Amino acid sequence: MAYEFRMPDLGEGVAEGEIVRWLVAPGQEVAEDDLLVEIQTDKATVEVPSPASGVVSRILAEEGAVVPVGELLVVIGAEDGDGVPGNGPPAVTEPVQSRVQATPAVRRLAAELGVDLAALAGDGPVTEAAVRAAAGGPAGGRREPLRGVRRAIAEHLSRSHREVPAVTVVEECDFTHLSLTRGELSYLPFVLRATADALGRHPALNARLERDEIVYLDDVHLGVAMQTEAGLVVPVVRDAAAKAVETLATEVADLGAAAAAGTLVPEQLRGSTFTVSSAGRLGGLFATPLVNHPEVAILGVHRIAPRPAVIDGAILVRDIGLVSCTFDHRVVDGAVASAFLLDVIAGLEGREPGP
Amino acid sequence: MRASMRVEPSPAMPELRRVIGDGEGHPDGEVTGLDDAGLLALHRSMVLLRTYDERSLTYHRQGRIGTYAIFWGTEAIQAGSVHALDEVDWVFPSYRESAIGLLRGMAPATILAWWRGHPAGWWDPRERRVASICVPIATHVPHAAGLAWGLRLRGERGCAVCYFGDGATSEGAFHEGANFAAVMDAPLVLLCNNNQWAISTPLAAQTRAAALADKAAGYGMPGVRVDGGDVLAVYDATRQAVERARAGEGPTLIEAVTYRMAPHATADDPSLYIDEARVEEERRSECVARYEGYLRRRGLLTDELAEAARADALAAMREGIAAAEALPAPDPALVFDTAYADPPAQLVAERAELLRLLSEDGR
Repeated sequence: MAYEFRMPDLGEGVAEGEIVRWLVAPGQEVAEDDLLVEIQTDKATVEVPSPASGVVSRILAEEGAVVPVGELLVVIGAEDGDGVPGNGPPAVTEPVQSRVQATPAVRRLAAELGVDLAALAGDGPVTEAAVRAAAGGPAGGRREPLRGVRRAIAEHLSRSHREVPAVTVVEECDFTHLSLTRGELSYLPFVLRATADALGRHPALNARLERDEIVYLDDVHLGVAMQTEAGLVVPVVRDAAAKAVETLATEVADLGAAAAAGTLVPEQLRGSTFTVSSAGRLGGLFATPLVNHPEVAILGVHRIAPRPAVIDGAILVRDIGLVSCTFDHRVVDGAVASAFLLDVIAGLEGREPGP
Repeated sequence: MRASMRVEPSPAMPELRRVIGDGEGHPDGEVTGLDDAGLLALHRSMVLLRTYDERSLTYHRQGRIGTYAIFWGTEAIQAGSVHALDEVDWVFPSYRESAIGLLRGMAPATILAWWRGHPAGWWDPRERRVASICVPIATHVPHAAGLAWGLRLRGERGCAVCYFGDGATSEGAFHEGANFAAVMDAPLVLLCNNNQWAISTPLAAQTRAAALADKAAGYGMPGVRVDGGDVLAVYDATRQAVERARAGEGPTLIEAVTYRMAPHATADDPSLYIDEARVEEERRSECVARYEGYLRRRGLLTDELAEAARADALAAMREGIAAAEALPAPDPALVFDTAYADPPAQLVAERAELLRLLSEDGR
C-alpha cells in the first residue's frame, strides 16, 4: 500500500516549507528513516526522514518550491489500483542502519566542499572541523558571517546574475567639452541629466519586467551606485527628468554624504527605474555592471583620462572615457540599447542626438 | 540617616556532587539503595528515555507528532530521580520531562498521543501519580507544593518531585511554591534541570546568583548541586532529599547541572545563539554512555544486555507510534466540553456554531 507523505509542520505552526533538495529519486528503494528531503522553514533547515519503507513512486514538489503544510510531497510504495493511496500506518520494520552521524550544517558543508562523510565516520558525529580538515582547504583565514549590507548585496546581485540574460554594449565618449565647461561640478550630474533625457526618448530602457508583462514607467528615478565602507549602496535621485544639473549635483552630494554617514533611510534606497554606475578613477577602462534587478538596464561611466583621439584626420589628446550600457536582453534588443547609449553620449559631448 | 550597604563577597560555589568516575584518574564512588538489579533497571530506564527522545524527533520530522521538546542528554536527571522514589510519590513533569511517565509504566502511545494533540494523551494523574505535563514555565511548582503539603496533612508517606529548568527560577510561581513548601515543611523535592539556556537566554542573563542551588538558602531549605550527567549523583541527591521529606524536614532544592545538547524544541535553531563546539563537546560526555562505562567497569553490563535494552525500547516505540496513529480522530466538541462544568452562554453558542460548520463541511 502506498504511503502519502505530506509536508509536515516542521516548526511550531509554520504554514509552509521550501524544498531545498531531494535526497531520493523516483524508483529508488527507501527504508523507514532514510532521509528523503531537505526542507527549509522560517525556523530552520531540516532533513526529513522517511516514515515508510518502499519504492519512491512519485515526487510531487520540485526543488525550490514553497509547499504549504499538508500538501502531498512524495508517494512511497506502489499506489493502489483505485487511485486512492492509503495513509495508513507505515511498514512496521525498524531498519538497522549505520548512517553517518552529522548535523545538517555539517552535511551541507561536506556537500559544498565535496567531502565524503562516510569516509569520516567514527565514534560519534562527524564535526565541522573534521570536514574542513578533510577538504584540505586553507585551514587559516578569517571567517565573517554574511550580514547587513553585504548580505543584501549578495542576495540582490545573485538574483540579477541568475535571472537576467545581460549583454553589455560599450562606446567611446569625448568628455573634453564637458571637462572645460563643467566648472566646480563633477561629471556625474551631467551624466544623470543626459541619461534622463535619453531615457525620455528611449522608454524601453526605463522599464521593468513583472512576470509576463513589461511595465514601461512614467517617471524617471535614477539609482546612483555609491561605494561606502559598509559596501555598495544605490540611493535614488527622484524625478531626474525634471531637474536641472545644479539640482542634481546638490542631491547627489546630499545622498553621498548620507551614504558615507550610514544615515540613508529606506525611502532613499527604493524605487529607482534605471541605475547609473560611475566610479570615477576606479571605474575601470571599462566594466560590465550587473543590471539592478528589476530594472532592465544600467549605464556605466568608466575612467575618463587624456587619450589620443583621431579628429578630422589628426591625432589629438582628448579627455576620453568609455561608457557602457548593460541591458536585460529579454526586454531590450541590442539595437535599442546602442541607440540609447549613443544618445547619452551625444548629450555628454554637447551634440544633438543623432539619428 | 543613610543606610549603609555592605556587600559580602559571594560565597564559594557549592560543591558539584559526582559519583561516577572517569575510568582513569577519578575512581567511581558508592551509592546506597541500589543493588545490581537496581543498577541495571536504572540503565534500562535511561535507554528507554533516550530511545523515546530520538524516535520522537524522527516522528516529528515525519509529520507524525507535533512540535516536540527534545530532552536528549538529560535522561540521567529524570531516571536518577524517579528511581529514588516509591510508587506513592508524585512526579510533576514540565514539557522537558514529557516521557517521564514511561518510568511509571505509562504506554508510549499515551505520551505520543499527547504530542499529537489527541485527547488519549490526557491521562488521569492519580493513576500513576504523574501530574499533567506542564508547558507554562514554573506554574506547576505551587501545584506540587500544595499537593505535597496535602500528603503531609493527610498523614501519607508520599512526597512530590517537581521538575523545571533554570529559566523557571526567575518566575514568581517558583518563588511562591518554594517558599510555601519550606514554610509548610511540605515533602517536596524541587529538581532544577539547569541546562544553562532558557531557549536562547543564557544563564548569565538569567541570574546574578553564583549557583541556582544558592537560592535555597533564601527559603531556608538545603540546596544541593549535582552533576546532571551523573545518574548516580542525581539518584543519591534525590534519595537524601526524599528521606528528609518523609521525615517531615521539608523541601530540598536540587540543581542538576548539565548543558543543553539539543535544540530547545523542534521549532528552534540554536546555531543562531549557541556555541556548537561546546555542544559537540558536551555530547561526547553524555549521560547514557557515562553510566554504561560505570556498569561495564563493575562488570554488570554486557553487550547483550545493552543491545536488549535498546531493542526492547525500540519495539515499545514502534508499537507506541502505531497505536497512537491508529486512534480515531477525536470529537471536536471536546474542546468545549472539558473547560467548564457550567459553560457560559457564549461558549455554548460557539460550540453549536462549530458543530454546524463542521457538519455543513461534511466532516
